[in-house]
Amino acid sequence: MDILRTENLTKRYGQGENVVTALDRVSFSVEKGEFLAIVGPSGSGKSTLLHILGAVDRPTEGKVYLNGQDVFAQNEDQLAIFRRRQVGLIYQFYNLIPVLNIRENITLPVLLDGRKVNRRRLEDLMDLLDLRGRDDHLPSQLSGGQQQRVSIGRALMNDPAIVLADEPTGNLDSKNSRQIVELLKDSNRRFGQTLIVITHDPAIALQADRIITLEDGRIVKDDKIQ
Amino acid sequence: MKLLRSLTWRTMRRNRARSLATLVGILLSVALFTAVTIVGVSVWDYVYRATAESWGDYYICFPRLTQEQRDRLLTEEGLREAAECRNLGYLRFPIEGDTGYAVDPIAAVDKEYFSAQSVSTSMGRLPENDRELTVSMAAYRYLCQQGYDLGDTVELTLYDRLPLHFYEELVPDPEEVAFTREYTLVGVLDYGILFSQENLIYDGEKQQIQTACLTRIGAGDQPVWYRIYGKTADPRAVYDLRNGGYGETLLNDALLSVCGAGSDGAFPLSLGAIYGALIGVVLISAVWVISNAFSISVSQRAREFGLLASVGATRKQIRASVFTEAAILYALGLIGGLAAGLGLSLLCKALYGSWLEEQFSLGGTTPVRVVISPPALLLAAGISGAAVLLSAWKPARLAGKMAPIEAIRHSEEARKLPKRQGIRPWTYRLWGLPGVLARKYYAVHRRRYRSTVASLAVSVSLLLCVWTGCDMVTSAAEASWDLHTADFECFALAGSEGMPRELEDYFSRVEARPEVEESCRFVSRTVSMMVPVERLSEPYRRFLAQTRPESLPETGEILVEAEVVYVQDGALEAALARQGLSLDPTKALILRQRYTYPDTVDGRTRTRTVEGSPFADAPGAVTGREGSRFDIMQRAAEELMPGKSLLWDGEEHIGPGGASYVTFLEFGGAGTGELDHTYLPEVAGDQLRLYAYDPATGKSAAQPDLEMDIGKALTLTLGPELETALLGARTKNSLTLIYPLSALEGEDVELHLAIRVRQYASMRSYLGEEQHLALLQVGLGTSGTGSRAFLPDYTDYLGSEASLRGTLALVRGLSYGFAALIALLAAANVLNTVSTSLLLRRRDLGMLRSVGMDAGQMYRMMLSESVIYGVRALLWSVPVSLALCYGFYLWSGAVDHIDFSMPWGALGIGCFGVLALVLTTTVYSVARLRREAPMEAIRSDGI
Ligand SMILES: Nc1ncnc2c1ncn2[C@@H]1O[C@H](COP(=O)(O)OP(=O)(O)OP(=O)(O)O)[C@@H](O)[C@H]1O
Ligand SMILES: [Mg+2]
Repeated sequence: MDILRTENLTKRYGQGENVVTALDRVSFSVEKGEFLAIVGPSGSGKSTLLHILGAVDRPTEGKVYLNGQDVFAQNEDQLAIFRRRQVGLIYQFYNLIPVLNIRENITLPVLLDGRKVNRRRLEDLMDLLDLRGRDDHLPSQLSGGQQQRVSIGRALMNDPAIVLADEPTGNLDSKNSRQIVELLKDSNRRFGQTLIVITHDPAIALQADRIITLEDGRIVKDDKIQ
Repeated sequence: MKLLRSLTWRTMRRNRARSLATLVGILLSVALFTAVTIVGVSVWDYVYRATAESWGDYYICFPRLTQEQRDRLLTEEGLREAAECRNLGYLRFPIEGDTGYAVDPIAAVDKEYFSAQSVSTSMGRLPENDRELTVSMAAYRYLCQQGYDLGDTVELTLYDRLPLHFYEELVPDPEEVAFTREYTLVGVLDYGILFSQENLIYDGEKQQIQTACLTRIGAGDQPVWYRIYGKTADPRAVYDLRNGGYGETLLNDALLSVCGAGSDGAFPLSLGAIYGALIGVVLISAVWVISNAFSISVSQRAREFGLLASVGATRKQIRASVFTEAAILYALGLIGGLAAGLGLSLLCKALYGSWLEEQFSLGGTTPVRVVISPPALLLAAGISGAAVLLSAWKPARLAGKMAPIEAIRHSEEARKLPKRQGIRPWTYRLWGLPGVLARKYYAVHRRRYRSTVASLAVSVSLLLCVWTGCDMVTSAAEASWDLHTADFECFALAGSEGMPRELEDYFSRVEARPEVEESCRFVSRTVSMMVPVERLSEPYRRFLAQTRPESLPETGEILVEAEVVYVQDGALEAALARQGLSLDPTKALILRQRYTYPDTVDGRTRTRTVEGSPFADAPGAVTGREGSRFDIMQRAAEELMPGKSLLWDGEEHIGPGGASYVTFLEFGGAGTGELDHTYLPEVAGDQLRLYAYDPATGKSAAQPDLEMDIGKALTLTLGPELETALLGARTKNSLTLIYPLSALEGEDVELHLAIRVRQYASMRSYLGEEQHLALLQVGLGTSGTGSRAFLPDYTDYLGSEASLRGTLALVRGLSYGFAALIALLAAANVLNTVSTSLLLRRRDLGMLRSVGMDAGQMYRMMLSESVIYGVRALLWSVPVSLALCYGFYLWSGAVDHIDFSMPWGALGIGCFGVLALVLTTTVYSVARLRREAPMEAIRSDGI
């Protein structure tokens, strides 16, 4: 069953002569529990696609359906709830809240949802992400890789239906990289989460169930891996 | 270098919002400063001209100068302008029913004279050539009797010339005709009280006509005397000129006060000082707004400069970049600000110009005009320029002090978060997540918010202080100026036989005029009451001890003057009804006043019982003038020393042993000396006994020199206070008793009619005509009754108090304008800081939204934040400013004259304004931010 489906997604930036088409009529669907890797050269529109899937950006044209429902037909508040309950987004450039410490940053979606923080899950995540003892630090006091791990923690904390990761291992060494991918895959397997990962690392891409290749905003290849 | 400059330009364009906010800050400050100075200068200019129009455009007048004095005066260095009036001689008019002559001066005047002395005509116009004549009212009446009227040619005879102080040795000689000439009668002069007998010819050619006239009577070319109206370069120099040996001088105090050189230094209101303070505050606020606008983005800019430095920009290059940006913003802001300021001034003129004209010149012709003063504009430009430079410089200095990477990495947040960062569960429960976030953000941006809080606090404080100050100044001015509630007051004597028909007609005619808005008939009298000292209220005793210590004995009775006002029954009933009271003949109504009195006052008056009147015991039934202490003593003096030229000096003195005695002064012989007659008064029942008394020894004679009936003693029970002011009735810190006019039936009274009008000018001309008519009728002997008692007259309170009322209204207007301005500045400041700091946080808010914060949570967070600093500002400002105001109230000594009034209005406006302001700014900004997709916000770096 398709959990996610896009129809002719198009995103254009700028106007007139300077118009950049970051996404050009992209249509595909993702099944529930699928691990999808998106690859492509720099500037091919990967991040743009991911942001639209995560409903933090709006497409110029086209639709995104989640469980058959048109995501962008919802109003702003429904979108906000969608973001904090259904999606875990790991940004290429972390995007942590500078005034909140690590623990607060990770638990933010739960807190925003007005739910109780699952302490066990938090401890586990902190352990897995090797962020022990850093609870009270602010993002600006961390290294790039550490910040990236915090943003992964934030995405997973809520057990979302879909995890969207934009080069989650871009700033990490190979050992750490492996651990993170393991974590994501484990979560994917255990909770039946749908996982979409953008990566430049063939080793990671090859672990996926399916690889979509973007070029100039268009899907040029869609490979299923056995 | 070129790249750097274009980089600056591009950064500005990219950070459009920030640049715009800064630009608006500069523009607003320059505009406000410009507007305030232009309006200030224009108002001053207007007040000056309006004052000059009604009081004359001169500082000092030398009413009688000899030729030699005049020549000397004109060479005085300090004297800048001089208008001359040259007396040529006198016209004579026979006085009806008398063998004597009225002698009225005729004078030649130059063109400047008409503005300097501010003459106008009550009929016709001013002379325009040497064949035209304007005459005094008296001369006009005489000419009317001769059958002449305006426009006719009159042959006037200039009689020989009387000496300078003609009134001393006036010996009229009807035979001595000197020179006769024909004139066209063009107008009747309307002087004030001074020089009201003067007749004027126009001598625009400067002394030629005068010389021609004078040579014909063989007087050479010398006028009898000169009158000169002068202006000195420095208004204060008039006080030196006054002692320059020019004889008597008159100062134009009204105009000198406008110039800040009034002789009454203790004048409570100095418009200049108030305005100076205003400009100072606006200036400071303007600098503040500018530096705020710049410093909002200090950290962000520091980061930019850090980036530049990290790729190798030198400090000099960074400085150049700063200067370029500042210069561009400043140039735009200055031009826009000056234009906006001018526009604002023109708007003020359009909105308030006619109001000001109405307040001040009352049908005068002085128009308000906008005066642009270059020094003020230069000052505005200079100071805002300095503020811009200093504020722009701050981030560059900050960036210079840090290592580049620090500047880049360290967003201000990292360094400013409070030590304890954990969120405790109870905090959550108390505030909710948005509340906690708000507190965190507030803590982080405390510095940025500090200026917002401060500007709010200062604005609220200023508002409160200005409000209270304005209240205090106006009530003090009202108390000391004793302004009337009525605009006009007509009055006439009515005999005890009842009101004459003419009088009744006259009053009814006036009452029925369409200009009359409200009118009330009343009679006012002063009654003296003897009150035992120990029954005086404490504030009143203190007041007496300060103002008239010599009349405050330790024991015995003290004279309290009471004002008794008999008000037209209808008006009184209406006033009582408004307060829910009814008339009680056994209790005397009193007018609301500052000092409290005991419940009863013992009065000693000669009363006459009016049959059947419920007010038989009231001082209303006092016969004529005999009730007052002064009159009693006057009568006693007359009885003691008949036929002597006597003066009762009016004061009581305290002798040894605390006895109070009175002294009569007798003018001996031809003013060579004075003789005292000192008596100890004793009141027993309705008798006054005077014993010869020697204040040195404290001994008095055993037998009274005089025993006199002074009427029965009575005790007044004081009733409720009447809160509403009655037209015509007022209180000057003295006991004012109110009775209905009907209680006076059958008495000799001077009946007054207080009027409040809609149109001043037409009412004045109506009353003036009415009066002229009556005067002419009497003068020409055509009045039906010929009764002298029927001579209605009127007082033009609105006219005579115009400049005071105008000043008061102006002070009020200025204060409110000032308060509004402060509110505006505060609003601009808050709008600027709040919206910019929100824009600076656009990215943060975008991130919060991208992890699922909904609109409600965002609003709650931002509102909590704004409430935190709004409340903080109020918590600071309200107590501090109230304390300041009360301190000032105590310090200024106003305690003794006026009550402290809590500025509830300002408090309400302040609190409501602050909350409304921060809430609307927040709601507006959040709504604006919500329109974009979160990713757009995240991708933007800062604003
Ligand atoms: N806000 C924007 N305005 C204009 N163009 C943009 C904007 N954001 C992205 N683009 C353009 O859209 C295209 C796709 O960008 P996107 O960030 O999706 O690339 P990417 O595939 O993630 O690249 P990388 O692998 O380098 O991260 C690029 O050509 C980029 O220049
Ligand atoms: Mg990318």
